[in-house]
Amino acid sequence: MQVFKTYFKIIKRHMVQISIYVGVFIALAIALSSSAPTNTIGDFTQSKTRVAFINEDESSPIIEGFKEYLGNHSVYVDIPNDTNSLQDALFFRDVDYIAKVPKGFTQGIMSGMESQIKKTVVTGSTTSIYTDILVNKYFNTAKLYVNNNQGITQEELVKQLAKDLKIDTAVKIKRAEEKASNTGNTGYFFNYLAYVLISVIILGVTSIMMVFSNKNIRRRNLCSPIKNISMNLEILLGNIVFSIACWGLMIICSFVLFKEQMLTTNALYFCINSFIFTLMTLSMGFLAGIFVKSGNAQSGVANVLSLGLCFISGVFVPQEVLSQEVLAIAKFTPTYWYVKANTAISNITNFNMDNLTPVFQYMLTELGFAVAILSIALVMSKRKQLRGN
Amino acid sequence: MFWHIFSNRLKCITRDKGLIFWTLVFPLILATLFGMTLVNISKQEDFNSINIAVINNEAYQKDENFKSFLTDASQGEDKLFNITVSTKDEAEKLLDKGKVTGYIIVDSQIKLVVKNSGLSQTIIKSVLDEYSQTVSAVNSIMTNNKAAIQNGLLEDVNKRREYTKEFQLGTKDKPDSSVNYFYALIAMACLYGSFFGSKQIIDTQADLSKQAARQSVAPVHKLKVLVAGLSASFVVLFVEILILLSYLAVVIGVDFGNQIGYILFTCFVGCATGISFGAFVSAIVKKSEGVKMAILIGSTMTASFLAGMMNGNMKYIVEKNVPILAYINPVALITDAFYALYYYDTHTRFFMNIGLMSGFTVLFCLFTYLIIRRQKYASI
Repeated sequence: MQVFKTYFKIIKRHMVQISIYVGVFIALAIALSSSAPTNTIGDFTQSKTRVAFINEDESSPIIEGFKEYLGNHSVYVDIPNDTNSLQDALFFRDVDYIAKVPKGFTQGIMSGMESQIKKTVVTGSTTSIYTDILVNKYFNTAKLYVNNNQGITQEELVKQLAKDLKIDTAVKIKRAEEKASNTGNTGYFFNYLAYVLISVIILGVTSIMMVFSNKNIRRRNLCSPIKNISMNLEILLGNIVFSIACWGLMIICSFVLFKEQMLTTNALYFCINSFIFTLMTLSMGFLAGIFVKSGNAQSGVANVLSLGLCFISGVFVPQEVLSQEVLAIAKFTPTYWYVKANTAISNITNFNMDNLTPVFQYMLTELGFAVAILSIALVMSKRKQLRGN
Repeated sequence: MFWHIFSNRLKCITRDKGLIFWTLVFPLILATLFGMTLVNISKQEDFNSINIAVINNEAYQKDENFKSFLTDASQGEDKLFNITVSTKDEAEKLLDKGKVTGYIIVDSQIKLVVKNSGLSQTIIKSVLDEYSQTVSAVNSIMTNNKAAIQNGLLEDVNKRREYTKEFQLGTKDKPDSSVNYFYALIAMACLYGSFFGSKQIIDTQADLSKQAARQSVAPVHKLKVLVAGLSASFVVLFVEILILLSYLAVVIGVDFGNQIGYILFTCFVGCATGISFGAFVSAIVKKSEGVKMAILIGSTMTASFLAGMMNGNMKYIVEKNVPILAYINPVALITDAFYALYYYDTHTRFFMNIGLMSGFTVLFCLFTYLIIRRQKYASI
């Protein structure tokens, strides 16, 4: 097993580079799992928009009342009242709605005259339209009282408004009988896994292949008393062990990060899916290793493949957000099917054949890619050998 | 002599495939990927009329007020809803298939059925609330003032006013936050120019490469060699950045605002910062080329991350919490200059960024020269 041992000596040399990728990935995964989108199971909860409220009028009961009302339906964000800070906050969507109450607003409202709040929003955005509804509702109702209840004081008006606007429509959430699956963020984690597996395995495998396919080393090896086939097999074994070790490490990470969520049947299928994907990546690394000759080209290939595949097939940006054209291209990549399988798995609550068939189909597609890429790689390497390189 | 060195350096740089890949091809690939994936993100926040269903029952048919209220909300150019009137079973099916966001049942009270919580669902609820709330307001006015109904209370209800007026800040009414990714990408490409600067130092310092040793023997002033080489690097990098910029603007369709002169000027200064940064790092770090590259890549990637290349909001988070980091990060400065040109109607912030970048460039050049001048070697 000399070759096999050498294999891991070379891997050891590249440990720094590999651990950088692994480290970056784990950091990403932790960031992801802490910013978990909360599951919307349970009662209906109203969405809230982020509002910056600036009062340039004097403080009056009606403005206070309005502020309290709007505060029940929005989150107030404190932004200094200068143009640049407000612009920055809106651009990065720290606020959705900047409401400036102009001078003389209270008086305008109380005398039934035209008065308007100055809003700065992302024109046409859903959040701005929602907040508009709230503002208009408050002051249109106020208008009714002012016009038809002559001499109403601000305090009375605010009290009346608070009473009227408290009325709620009953909202029922309709659910399918089955309860939603409890996968939480494990789905995200396994999607991101595609990125790290591609990067690390391609880097690792090409590093080794580069060494063994070096002309001088190859010639030296060929005249050693080891059968060519057993040498190749040992390299292959090394590749497989390395890939599976990477995969295993990631699975251990997922157990550390998610604990009980990993003890579900969904998680088992996630693991199987990622294992199949690992095999696909291995054959990809094998193919890349045939062409790559320098360290520069190696990191180029690893970066372009990992980023490219992950971007277009929905690892970094969810598939629902991608355009149809991009998805049409993505269908020709194995990552697309990997992500699709993960999505399907995280939605399964009832593990019957009906629900599992698509998952198996996606996995088979990934395997198909693995076989296809491996056969191309074998043809290429044979050709290269025949050419005497 | 200057032109001789300049033209030869130009050849050296353009023939270095690895260098051209990382400074030109890699940013172009990233630009394509960003372009493909980010295009739809800004569209997501646009409001589209919400599809809802109303159960067609007796109570609904009788309630003329509610009917006309819903019709009002589903008419006109900026209508809130698209309404389907249907039976309960149909509505259920529509909801299950996701064709409608929710359906309304009119009974003794108005009820809403949805599948999950969300902003669209909240809007439906809020509009339905408005109806009941207005009814409640009308009732309490009537108890106090019975004559109100004769005095036009109902007309008053229907005469809804608009209590908000849009007041635009800056140059865009719909600032697209995804442009920040592309600005940060250009900034990263500028800083990748540091590889050129580093290469120049390696090829000039006699203890770093054989070529430099040979060159040092030539009777040419070191400053001249350095200036000619750095100028050649600058020309190549600037052309690359222009290619990237036009690719982003024309093919991907990124909005840069329309101040072309200032945009080019930002690229110009950005390239200078990138190259001088590379030269500086290469001069000060007396280690192998691999270590120098690792430091350059590591620092550029960290800086790009902080400028929002991986997560658009990172730039804002840094500016808000650790402002000093935004002022000393060249990638953030370049990104911010583009951002200021895109969104601000003043140039104060833009010139502050350009000023800081120029300052850094001068400092980097100065230090580089001070470090590498008059070096003599007993043996190399």
